[in-house]
Amino acid sequence: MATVALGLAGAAAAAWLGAAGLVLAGGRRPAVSLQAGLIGLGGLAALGAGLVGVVAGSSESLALGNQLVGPVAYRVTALGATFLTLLGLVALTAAVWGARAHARSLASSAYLAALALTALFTLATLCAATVTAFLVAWESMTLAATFVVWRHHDRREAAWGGFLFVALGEAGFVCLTAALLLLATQAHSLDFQVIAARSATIGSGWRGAAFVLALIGFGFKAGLVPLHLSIPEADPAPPADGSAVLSAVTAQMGVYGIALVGFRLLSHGPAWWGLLTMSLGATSAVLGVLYALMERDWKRFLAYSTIENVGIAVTALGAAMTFLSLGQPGLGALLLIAGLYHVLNHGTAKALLFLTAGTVERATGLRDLDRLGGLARRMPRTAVIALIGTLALAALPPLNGFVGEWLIFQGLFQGFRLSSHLAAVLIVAAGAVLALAGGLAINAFARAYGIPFLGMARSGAAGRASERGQPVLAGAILAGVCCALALGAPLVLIGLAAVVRRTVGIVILPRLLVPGLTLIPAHPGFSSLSPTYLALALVGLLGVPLLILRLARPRAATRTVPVWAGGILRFRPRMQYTATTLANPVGVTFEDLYRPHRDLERASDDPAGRSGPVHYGFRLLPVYQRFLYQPLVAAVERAARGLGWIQSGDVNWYLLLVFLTILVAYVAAGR
Amino acid sequence: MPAGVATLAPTTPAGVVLDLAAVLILVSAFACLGSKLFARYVTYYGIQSLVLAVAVATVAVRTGDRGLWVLAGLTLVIKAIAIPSAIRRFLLDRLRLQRDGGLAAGLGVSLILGAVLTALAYLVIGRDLLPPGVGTVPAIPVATAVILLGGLVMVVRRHAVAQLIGWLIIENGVVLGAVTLAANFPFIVEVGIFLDVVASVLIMCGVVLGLGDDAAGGAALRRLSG
Repeated sequence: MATVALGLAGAAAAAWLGAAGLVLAGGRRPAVSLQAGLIGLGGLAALGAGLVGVVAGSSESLALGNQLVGPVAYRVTALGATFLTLLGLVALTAAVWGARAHARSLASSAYLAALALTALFTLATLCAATVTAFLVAWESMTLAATFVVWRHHDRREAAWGGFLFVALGEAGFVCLTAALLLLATQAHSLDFQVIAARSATIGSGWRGAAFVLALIGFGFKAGLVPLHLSIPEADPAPPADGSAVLSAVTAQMGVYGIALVGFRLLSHGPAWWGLLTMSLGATSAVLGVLYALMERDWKRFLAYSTIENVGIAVTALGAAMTFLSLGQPGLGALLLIAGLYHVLNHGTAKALLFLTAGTVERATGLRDLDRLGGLARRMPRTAVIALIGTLALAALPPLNGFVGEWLIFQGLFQGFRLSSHLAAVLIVAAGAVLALAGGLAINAFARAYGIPFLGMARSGAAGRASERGQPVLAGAILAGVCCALALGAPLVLIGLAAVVRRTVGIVILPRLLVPGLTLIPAHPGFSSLSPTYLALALVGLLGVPLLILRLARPRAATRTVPVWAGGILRFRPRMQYTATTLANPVGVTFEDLYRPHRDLERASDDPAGRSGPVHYGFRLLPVYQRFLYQPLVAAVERAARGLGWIQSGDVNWYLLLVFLTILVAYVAAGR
Repeated sequence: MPAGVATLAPTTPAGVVLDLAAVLILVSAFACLGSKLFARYVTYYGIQSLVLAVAVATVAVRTGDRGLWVLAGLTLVIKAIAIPSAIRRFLLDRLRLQRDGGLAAGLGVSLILGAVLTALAYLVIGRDLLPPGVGTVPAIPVATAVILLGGLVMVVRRHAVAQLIGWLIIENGVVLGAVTLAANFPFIVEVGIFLDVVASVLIMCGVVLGLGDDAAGGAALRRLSG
């Protein structure tokens, strides 16, 4: 059983390598469909490897290293398998979407090759069992994903997004390399298992430094505020399948990294590690959703929502670390399970929504929420799929997002069980912050679903949209997975409990799942939930009004008349709420944070402002850019200008510099 | 103590000849620094190489190393005769180079800087810097000074040919230091350095001819600034 996972992972790697290699056989009519098929097959194999790994635990190790590069080994671990499942699912559905969406061109073929390589190196990262293997795979993943971002490299935002992605990716990689090499030198081994076994012998100062460096390094990938700059720029840039992989998998690899270092390599750190992680996560969650709410571009909105959801998962992981270090292993394990559950939910729903947004973009050519509208009638299947994804991501019952976040909240609100009052207050405060983020998320998703799908079309292109020939199947698969993750919550918890047992060695399942498909948050008597029955009951309740309508309504003659609408003769699209107006109350409430820049130009000074066009401009400069990045960039530029005289371009000047260096060396040696 | 070095103590005749040669090499480097005519640069470089060949031959006589004899011969043929005549024929005559106009510092300033550098070379090459037993060889600070003076020529001259001469002076200083420091220097390394010099002269000839006089004068190079 244990070798099956490794074999399936190998099959996935082979399929993805084949898909990438097919670009070389390109020619005039490249085999784009075959590439997509191979990516999908690889996804299926990775999904299988992940499921087997979750059930069966660590596989055998595939060792490849030699004297020159040091030990290189790959194995499927329980923690990696959780993310592997998600990678397989997203790759599969991205391929199903991409097979219909991409034209047969060399550019598409190269793009799919980059996508296949991204999946391949993500797989390698998840299976890496030594520091060398991990760092090489991680860096390759960043590079391959950069080429995914650059699919439309002639567009300004894609070029900029790719630059940010690779630049911040490298900054994170530096921290990551430092962290892992620090651990390796202190533990005298490059093998993850040996490092984990010897981690207790490493001095606490080194451990703390390594953890903070790793948190920063992985934070760049996960998009923790304020390290998240690349996510809203890079993730929306490629076609929808690329965005889905970047947001649902690549960004969440940061969460994997934090879990890897925080729970597997350096278990039982001091409480401040968890509290630091948790506060970064909570900040990301609330700022992510606040900026998502102000976003008019659909895909950028989804990217900001990624920051929010990764923040929620990281909050759960941080709180889990705190509980573990302060002697509450049950709650720690619960929150770790909840965090991993949230990662799966977010990945599934985010991939779904990105693919849906991509389908709508294909059908209308639009991403601007304020130009869409009324798509529910023109694209009914897409609308249903998007509704499921939206409910899941907004954490509304009865879907999977709700189950995951319910577990997180139940864990956080039991912070009072800690003996340390400071930690208890901070954890409960993080719960309150997440609650704020959750409320804002409902607002944000009501807007992101209602504006494009309900009401009337706000532009001609939206009015002419058609579902015919559009890739709908991939979203439908993901919607089914969302429902399965909700209805099958007990099964998911059994799997994740096995993962947690193998990762931190805590048996939590009996305290989590009680008979009757009911979940309790580690301590009986606090609360309980049966997601399966809740889902069935909620869906069943929908039937009640229909039943009443059918049975209890007095039968009378039907009469069709126009609706009374305040004397308005004809509804016009402009009378509707827009995405901007819907978000405005939040914008006003949080004005101190947003500090928006508004321009209002009227053609005339007529007090009613009705004659002639009115131009309303709205710009946001996010708070971290104003207070962190702008001063940083300005300081670097000042320093560069200060050092500019070195680069005069005069050959003699350069010779003089070389000469002076030699002189200094002579004088230094002569002392 | 290496056997080759012991026989070169300044009191022996060979040591005296070697010191004299080193001083002449230093003087010819100063002469290059204090001149303004391309033809003089080449002449002084030729003289310097000739003296260097004599110095190498002196060491060869004392140590009886066959490799050093070959090196002395190569120095004489290539550095003292072939390279100067090649530069004259292919660069100076063809480009009609006479007076070097591209001076980054005046001759007086250059000579003062050269004197300062020579003093510095004597100051920094203390006994403790050298391998045991070698500290008594006076040619070492002189070789260092020649290297520094060659570097100074490259810094204060803008013309590519003048910089080439500076580079060749540096190289002569390196060879002088090498044969006095370690007479049993591996022959293959010295031949390697030699090939480098020949190759660099060939490349510079090609590049300078390709650039033409204007560009080689440094005007075009200065426009490359970012």
